[in-house]
Amino acid sequence: MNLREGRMGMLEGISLAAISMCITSLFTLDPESTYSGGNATYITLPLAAFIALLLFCLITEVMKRNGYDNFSDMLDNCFGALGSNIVSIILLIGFSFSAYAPLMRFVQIMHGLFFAGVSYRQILLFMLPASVVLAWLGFEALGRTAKCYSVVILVVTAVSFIVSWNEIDSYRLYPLVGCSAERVVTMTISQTVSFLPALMGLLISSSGLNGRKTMRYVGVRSAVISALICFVVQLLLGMIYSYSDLSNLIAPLCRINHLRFGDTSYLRLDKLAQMIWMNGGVITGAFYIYSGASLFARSFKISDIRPVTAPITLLVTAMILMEFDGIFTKYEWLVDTWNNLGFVVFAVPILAVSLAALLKKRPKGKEKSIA
Amino acid sequence: MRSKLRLTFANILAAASLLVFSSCLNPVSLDNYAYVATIGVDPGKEYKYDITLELQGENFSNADEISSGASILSDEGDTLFEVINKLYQRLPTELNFSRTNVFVFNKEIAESGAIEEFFTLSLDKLRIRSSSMVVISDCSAREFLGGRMANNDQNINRVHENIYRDALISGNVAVDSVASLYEACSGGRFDVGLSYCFFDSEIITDAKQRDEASQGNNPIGDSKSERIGGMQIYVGGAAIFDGWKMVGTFDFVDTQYLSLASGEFRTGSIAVPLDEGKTVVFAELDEHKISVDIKDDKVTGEISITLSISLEQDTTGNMGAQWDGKYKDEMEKFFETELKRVFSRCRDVNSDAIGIGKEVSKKFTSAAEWEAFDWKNKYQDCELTFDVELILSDYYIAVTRE
Repeated sequence: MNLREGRMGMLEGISLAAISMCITSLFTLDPESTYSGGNATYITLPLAAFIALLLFCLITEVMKRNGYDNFSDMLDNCFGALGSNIVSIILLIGFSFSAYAPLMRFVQIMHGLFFAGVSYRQILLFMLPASVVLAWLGFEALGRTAKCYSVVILVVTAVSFIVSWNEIDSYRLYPLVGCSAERVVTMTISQTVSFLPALMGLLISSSGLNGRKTMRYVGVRSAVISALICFVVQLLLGMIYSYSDLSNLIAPLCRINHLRFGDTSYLRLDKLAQMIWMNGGVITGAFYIYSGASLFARSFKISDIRPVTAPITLLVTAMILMEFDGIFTKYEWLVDTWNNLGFVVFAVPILAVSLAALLKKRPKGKEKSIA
Repeated sequence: MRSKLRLTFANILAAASLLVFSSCLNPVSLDNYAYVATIGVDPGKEYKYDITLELQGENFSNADEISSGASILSDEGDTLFEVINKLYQRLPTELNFSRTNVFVFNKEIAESGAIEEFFTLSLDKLRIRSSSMVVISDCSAREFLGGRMANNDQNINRVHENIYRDALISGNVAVDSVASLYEACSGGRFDVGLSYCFFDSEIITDAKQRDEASQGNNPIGDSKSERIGGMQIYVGGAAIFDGWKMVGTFDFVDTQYLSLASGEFRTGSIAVPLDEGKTVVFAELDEHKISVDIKDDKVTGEISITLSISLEQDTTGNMGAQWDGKYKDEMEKFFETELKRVFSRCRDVNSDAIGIGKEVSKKFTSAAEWEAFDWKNKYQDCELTFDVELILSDYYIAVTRE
């Protein structure tokens, strides 16, 4: 099978998963539903990462117990061919939505904040080929590109906050948390959709990470790093913008560089930072497209992943075009459902497969599948 | 053969990608931009607004001059976009708002609350940064911008930055941005105090002095004006707001006390009447604390301020010797009285320019409770006391001077 997985090290894996989790959690939140009752994201996002990590640890533990090397192998053995195919289609849809969210958001930001008079289609034509090429090149290319970008993204984010340091004031965090405990719980659970796709991607491509043990190591560390970054970034954002302002701002992180007064050399920092974050979004989209294609190819025993990558990319492109052509405004319930219940698409298969694997012992002497 | 074909195809694809992906989306040459530094808004005669744009001078100078001046464009319209469309017809260049630093509103616009409607425009669409200052002019915005032009060797950006620097150094200018204005009006935790500016046509500018002198005249000797030099416009004082509406103005002195009360004060010279004269001290804010309490929906609070002062002019002649026994208490009492007076003025016009609401919001555990409290309605019953402590930082110099 030509799954273009290759091999990569721990640092590449951590970079790839952490970038995907951070970009998805920091840039794709719906501002009105997230912030209108107060700003609790500096609590809910790290907690959501923790819950996603728990699910990840559960399934990796079951994999270890039963001797499975990757997720699709486990899926095949637990649910059979038909069940595996059905689950992989559901997860494919989930990965498509997960790839659509950051790509759509960055097109929106580029169109709204940087490129006046340029259509969404032109910007998409600029961004999408980069994502497609990365997904086409495969897992190893994704990991190595992510490793190159990880430090740059961190530095640019840190510098952006340093530049707007004078705007930080703790009174904006108040009322602390701001919403009820029930809402904190529901937001935490729904925000696990920001972290689960990346962890699922690691589960699917564990052979590219040199085995289950390394994959688990990468998953745990990337989830912890993402949780920390989300906590710090959301806390600082909450001290720069009050919850009433945040509920009206899409991607507030892209605006903090606008708060510095005067004609300084920082005047162009917002564009530079936005370009770096956008590249993070491109990597994230490519990773999710690749993960969906990889699972589908394994499940349906397709020998080459490339013919699967192409239609998934078309699907994601169609979804983004539907968004900007206003079609999704007629189906707001679909977007709301994904925002609130999207985690179900990833969490339920993880739990179901774990339970099925626990109930069903793996036959002795069965060879491990080779990707 | 097959691999050669593949290689050829890959090279063609790479070349095509380089061509396509190394270009710009919607490129515009820098020469085709006219950068708007300031937007002035007055009430219009035929339309809602009379909008004046001050452009940075680079595009209108000769290539071999170091241009630091500006030029003015103006037209009327019901919205800024309408005016921009009209101006496009008269300009060889495209207006670019990415360097806009200041909005100037005529006080009529500010008092009527029309700033709210004006700011329903999308700053993102015009690429205007939310750090842009908002200034209220006692004169028309056009006079204000024209008055700046009258001393045409001033770099516009430097003029803007000077307003900000004045606020830090002297404390007698209030400075706030568009972002603060939005936050104040949407969050309800405070009200803004914006810079207030004036125009005096009698001021003989440096440029006029040079021009008149070169013709053999004596503009300074012949002048009846008390003010000579600098620009014809000056920024000082504060316009205080209740939400989007301007409800009062403070002069230089009261603005200093306002910034002391709000904690925005850094340094500044303050005159204190002592004995028969006015002692001038240079004050530096060391500490500023607000504590509030809510009982039966009534808010009471205390603002504690610690100031380090050094003497600039001692009309008493024995400040050092009698600092602890006499003048410290007198001066502290004076500051407390002035601060209370300024707070009362703000409360009378329902302007929380001091920002007490920021502390009040910390007393609530949920956003719903805070919003239900409706702080601005409770603000009129708010009682505030001030506790000022002064430290004479050059005590030994003051003593030895005597």
